[in-house]
Amino acid sequence: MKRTRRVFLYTVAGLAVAATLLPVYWMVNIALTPQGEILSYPPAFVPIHPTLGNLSEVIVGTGGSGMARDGLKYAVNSLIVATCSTILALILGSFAAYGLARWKSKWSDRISMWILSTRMFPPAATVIPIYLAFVWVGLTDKHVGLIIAYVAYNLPFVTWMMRGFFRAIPPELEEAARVEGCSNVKAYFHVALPLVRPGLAVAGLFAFVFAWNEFLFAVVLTQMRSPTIPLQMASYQGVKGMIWGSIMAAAIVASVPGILLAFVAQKHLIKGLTLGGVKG
Amino acid sequence: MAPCVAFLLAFVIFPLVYTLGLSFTNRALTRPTYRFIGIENYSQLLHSSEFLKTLANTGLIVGGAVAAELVLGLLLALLLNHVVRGKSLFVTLIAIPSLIAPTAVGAIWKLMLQPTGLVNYMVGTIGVKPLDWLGSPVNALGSVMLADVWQWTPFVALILLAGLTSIDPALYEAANVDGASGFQRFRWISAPALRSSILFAALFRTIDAVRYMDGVFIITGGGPGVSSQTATLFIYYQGFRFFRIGYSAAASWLLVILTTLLTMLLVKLIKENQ
Repeated sequence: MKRTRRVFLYTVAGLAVAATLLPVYWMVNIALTPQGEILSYPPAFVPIHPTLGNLSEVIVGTGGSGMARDGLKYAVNSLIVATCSTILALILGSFAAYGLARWKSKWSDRISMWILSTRMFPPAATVIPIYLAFVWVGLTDKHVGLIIAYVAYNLPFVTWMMRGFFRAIPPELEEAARVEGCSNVKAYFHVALPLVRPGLAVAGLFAFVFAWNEFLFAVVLTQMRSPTIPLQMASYQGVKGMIWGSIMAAAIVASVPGILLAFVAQKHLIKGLTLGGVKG
Repeated sequence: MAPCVAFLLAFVIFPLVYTLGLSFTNRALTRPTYRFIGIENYSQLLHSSEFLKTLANTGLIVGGAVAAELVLGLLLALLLNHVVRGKSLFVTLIAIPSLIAPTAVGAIWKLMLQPTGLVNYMVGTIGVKPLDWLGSPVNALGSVMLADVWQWTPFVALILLAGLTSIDPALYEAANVDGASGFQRFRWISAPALRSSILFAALFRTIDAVRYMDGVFIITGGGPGVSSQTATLFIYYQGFRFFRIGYSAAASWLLVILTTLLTMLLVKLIKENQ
């Protein structure tokens, strides 16, 4: 009885994983298939003549048809914008979160709620004024413009999550440091901040992935110089039909950082969600 | 704290208010001059069958796709909670779809849902006739929702799994001693403990589903016609394809009002639950 139950359990879990991973497998399969064989029917479950051509075309940009092929540009832009905006959001957010976590007043809760609520508005309602302002001061199609937009996008979430982490560490630790002669700033950097490192890892992971994947601000605020990865996917549309091999190769490039970071932050992930998010 | 608040005031609150102001004008990116036109944009929107259709689509995504994600995510979390050996491997593998860029997810599903694509081939092997997943107005929205459910069910499952793991195992042991069935254990221990996690996941997914546009943009572009267009995509098209930013601003404020009502309802439920 127990044994059949376990077999059943693992079979269902295995099926769930298979359903989850089949589209991911298909992305890799098509990315490794030469363009001419992609639309064959019935579809081939492994490439008959596997090739790295699609990937190298997207990454190194050997093709000659202009911006759609200039792959590395998109990845580099995404990397710059996502990294800078994540670091800025973590700095601004964890300062604010620390203050809010240690400030015992009903206003602390109110301000925290207000900060989180700014994340709830649809970005479509802020994109037009930001676009107009950036046109006015000349920040469109520049990394700085996108970085500002993504800090605003990630700040509420980072602050909310970090507040949960700071609240979980007992204030007595910093008080002890202060008694020993530490200034407030020193107590923050040397006592509180090192203790919430797992929280920084998780909040940073989410902020990075959000910025890496964001579409609306990227499509509105950039043109030729600073387009990010999601726009690469869109740029392949309609150019001589769908070049599926290149599109799937670009999809792989777009997916790598998120998956990689998740494996790195794996052991913090569930703990971070429990502490920082749900318990607020 | 002050820099954080100042930043949000400058780049979220100020733009929101500015958008409200724009929504009462006929401003367009193609014209240098514009004037105040009162609630003209709003009354036009509320009589536009196109806009109402996109609003209904967003509603269907929240009511359909997000609901499906919550149900499937709960089942997945309960399943993973029982897996003892290789649990962290299962969790990491399951999490992958939620980590992939939504534009990439859109591209993958668009490929698989082609007339001669993988999905039609697979339903063909069990004797179902091939479907026009993307070209028919009836199916297009469903296809878009399918991609969304595939991507975000794991995210919901992770949140609920975190909730399940924080339940004291002693509760289950006590229930076993008392001879409780599996369903009774779920009904009286897991379900009450999971309520706040479920509401939290529902809140996050609702907020994100309202702004959903990137996957739709890639998979169908909102078509055929506006049959799979979301409200956010409508706002983007009006503002940056047809350059009617006053009209677009009014549409985005209607979306703000609806989202606020919806999130207030969910937040109220969360507070009552605590």
